[in-house]
Amino acid sequence: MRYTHNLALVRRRQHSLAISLTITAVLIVLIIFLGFTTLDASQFFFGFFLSFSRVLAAYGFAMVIAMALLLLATSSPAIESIAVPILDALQSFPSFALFPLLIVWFGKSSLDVIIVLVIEMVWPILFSLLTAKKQLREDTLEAASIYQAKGWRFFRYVFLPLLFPSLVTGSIVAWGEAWETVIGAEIIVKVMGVGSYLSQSGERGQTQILLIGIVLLLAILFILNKYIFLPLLNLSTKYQQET
Amino acid sequence: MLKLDHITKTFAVDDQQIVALKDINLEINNGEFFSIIGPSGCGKSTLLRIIAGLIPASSGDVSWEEPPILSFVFQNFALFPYLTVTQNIEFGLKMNGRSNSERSKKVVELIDEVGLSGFSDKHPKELSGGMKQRVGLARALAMDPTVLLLDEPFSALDEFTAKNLRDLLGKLWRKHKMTVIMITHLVSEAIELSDRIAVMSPLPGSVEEIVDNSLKRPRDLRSKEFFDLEDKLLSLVKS
Repeated sequence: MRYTHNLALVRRRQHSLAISLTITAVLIVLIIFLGFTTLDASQFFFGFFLSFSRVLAAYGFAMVIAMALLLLATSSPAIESIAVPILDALQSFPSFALFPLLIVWFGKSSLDVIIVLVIEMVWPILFSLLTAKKQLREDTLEAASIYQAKGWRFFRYVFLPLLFPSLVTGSIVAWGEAWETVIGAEIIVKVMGVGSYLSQSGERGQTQILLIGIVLLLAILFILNKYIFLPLLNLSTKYQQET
Repeated sequence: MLKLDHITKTFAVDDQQIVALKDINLEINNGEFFSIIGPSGCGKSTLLRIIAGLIPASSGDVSWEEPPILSFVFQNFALFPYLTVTQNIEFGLKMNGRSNSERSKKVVELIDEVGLSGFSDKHPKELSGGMKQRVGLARALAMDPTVLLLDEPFSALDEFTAKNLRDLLGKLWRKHKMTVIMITHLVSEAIELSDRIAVMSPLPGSVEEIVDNSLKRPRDLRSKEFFDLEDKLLSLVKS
C-alpha cells in the first residue's frame, strides 16, 4: 500500500514538472510568433476558440447519439445482429460528401461544420462502446440483477461506470479525428476558425505565420491530451473490470 | 421451504438441443445448509441460477413457501470494479432506496463481521482474492437474505484462504440462520458445512441422490465418519 502511495507521489511530481515545461514552451512560441508578425495574435486564439467550441458542441451531441445508438442496437440479440453490420457500413460513409447538401440547406455556417463533426465523432465512440459492452462480464451483470439495479439505476450505477473506460478511449480517438475534420471543414465552408486562419495565411504567402500557427496548435492539442485525456485514462483504469 | 418441481433446462447450440438439466426435483428446508456437488458440466451452476431467478427454466416450477430475499455469492466475486469496498457492500441497499444512515450502519457492522476492517475505501483491484470474497459475502449479507446462494464461492482461492472463508461462512450461517444453498465441486467442503448434499451427474444434468449428513458439528475433518461419507459421495459422482 505504501508502495502505490509513493508511486502516486512520483507521478504527481512529474505532472507539475510537465505542466510548467509546456506552459513555458507555449509562451516562448507565442513571443516568437508576435515578434515575426504585425498581425494580432488574438486572431489566432479567437479562431482556435471558435474551432474548439465547435468540436466541444459536436462532442456533446456525438456522445448522446452514440449512447442512444448503443442502447438501440443492442436492445436484443436479433436487432444487434442486423444493426451492427448496418452501422459498420454507415461508418465508412465519407462525411465530407455531405457538404454540398449542407451548404444548400444551411448556407455557409458553423452548423455545417458541427454536423459533419458530429457524424465523424459518433463512430469511434459508438464502436468503442459496442466492443466494451460485448466484453462485460456476465457475473457482474448477474450481480446487478440480483441486487435489483434496474432501469435508470442500472444505467447510472452499473452500465455507465462499466463502460466509462471505453468511453474515454473512444473519446480520445474522436477528438483526434475531430481536429483533422474541423480544420478541413472550416477551410471548405470558409467560416472563421483555426482552419480558415491557417489557410488564409497560406494563401497570402505568410509561411512563417502558417508554420508558427501549426506549432501553436500542436502545443495546445498536447496540453489538452496531457491534462484532460491522460488523467481521465488513468482514472478509468481504476474502473476497469478484471478479466 | 423451496420446492423444485420437474425442472428441465435445454439450450439450443447450433440447431441442436442440449439438455442441461433433466427432471430435477428437490425440497430445501428453511434454515438448512444444502450443498450441491458434481463434476463440471453437470448443470449445477445452471440449477443455482434458475433458483436465483437469473435464468428461466425450460419447464417445471420453482416455488417458495414465502417470497425469499435472495443473495448470491459468485465464484469470481463479481464485485463492481469502480466502487470501493463500502460502496460494493451497500450496493443492494442503495438500489432498494435505503437511507444513507441505514446503509452506513449496516456497512460498519458487516465490515467488522467479515473481517474487512481498514479496507473500506479500497477498490477491488487493491484486494487479494480472499478479501474480495469477503466483500462478496458482506454484499450478500447486507440484504439480510433469507436465502443465500453460493456458486463455488471458494474455488478461486488458495487452500489456506479457502479454509478461513469456510469457517467464516459456517459462523455466518449459524448466526444469521438463513437457508444456504451452495454449489461446490469439493466433496470435503460440502461435508464440512452442509446438512444435506445433493449429488448431480452430467449428460443430462440430473440429481443422482440426496445424502443426509448427520456428522456432529463442529466437524472433525480427520475422523473416520468423515472419510466414510466422503467415500460414499465420491462413489456416487459419475463423471
